[in-house]
Amino acid sequence: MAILRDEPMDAAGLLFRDLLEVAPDAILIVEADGRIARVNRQTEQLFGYSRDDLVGQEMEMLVPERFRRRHPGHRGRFFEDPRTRPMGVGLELFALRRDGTEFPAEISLSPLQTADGTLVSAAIRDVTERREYQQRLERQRDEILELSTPVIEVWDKVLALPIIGTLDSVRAARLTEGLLEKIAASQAEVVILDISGVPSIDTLVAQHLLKTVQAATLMGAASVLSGVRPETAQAMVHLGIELGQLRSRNTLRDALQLAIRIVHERTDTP
Amino acid sequence: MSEAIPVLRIGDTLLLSLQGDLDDSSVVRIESRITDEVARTHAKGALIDVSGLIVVDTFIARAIARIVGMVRLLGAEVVVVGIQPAVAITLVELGVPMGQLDTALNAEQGLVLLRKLRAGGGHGDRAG
Repeated sequence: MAILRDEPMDAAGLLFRDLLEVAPDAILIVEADGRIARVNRQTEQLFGYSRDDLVGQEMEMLVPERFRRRHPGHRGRFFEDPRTRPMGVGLELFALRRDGTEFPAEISLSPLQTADGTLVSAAIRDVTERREYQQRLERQRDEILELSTPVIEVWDKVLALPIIGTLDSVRAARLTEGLLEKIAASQAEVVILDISGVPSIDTLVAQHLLKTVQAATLMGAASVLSGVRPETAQAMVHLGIELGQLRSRNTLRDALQLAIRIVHERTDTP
Repeated sequence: MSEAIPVLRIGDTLLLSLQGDLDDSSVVRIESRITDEVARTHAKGALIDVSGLIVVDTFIARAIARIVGMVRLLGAEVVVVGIQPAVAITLVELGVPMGQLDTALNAEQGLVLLRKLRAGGGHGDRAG
């Protein structure tokens, strides 16, 4: 067969070979028994093998040692139901270079019907850069979330949580988590939630705040709201936001005074 | 929580520690043990330490609320201590009504709160 051997080719065969050679991905053509039938130039570059090192060998030589034992099983299942699909959906795949190093790979499989039976073409792409980029993005998102929800121990047994910017559910959840962890670690008695940096309080933001307060109360810490500006106070009442037992102060200074008093009340025996 | 349910006595206060996995039968045993102890010792206060509970669902939350109600009926004040961050978040997210619950961070602060509750003549009027 022309695909497999360098026999004289017809026009279609030549076109196929050229397409294979100029493809941006490394492409391996593999037989049903797992032997490599053909590779393109990209494969040589990506894996560091020459064509002659690869053709006729078990394709498992390109699979990292720890996945090698199970790979023939996966390969067998592909040939039972050969159709075009990405390999290992949802998994992080790795491929093994000649020098023993690995790279994260994205692999798509397609069946190739020939006179000699079904072959599979595997297109392999090195996704090192993309995966690093994703990890960096995730790390930065985490860092931004951390930065945006700092918990400060402002006094003995008093924590302050300056909330700056808009409070969405993700941030609110992170904020609650961070605050409760800090309560547990510092055994704080009072928490000051300072909302002077929150542009506007709507019912949703108020709900998030009240959930945080409830959770802190369950752990045994009292909460004080601070930084309520006149317009915020008006808006909250107009919206019918009910704060329940939560005490509120205009400035952080007043809130801190109240917090210190609460600490004294709670720790002094009657 | 299979066999022994440890209830420690400190003066006229009892300390009940909930640990591990609670199921229907263990909750029933705890209820009977703590109510018997409160009545037998004439305890005036009880601390329920839940720091040993890793997972708290609505079933366990209701069980805790029931135990609190029973002990109060026997004339003792109750403070729940050691609610862990994840547990607190779960309770709030589940919307379990725990508003009547008096809570403290740890047993030491729980004892202080118990004294205040007894001096103030009842729960629901805690400082803070």
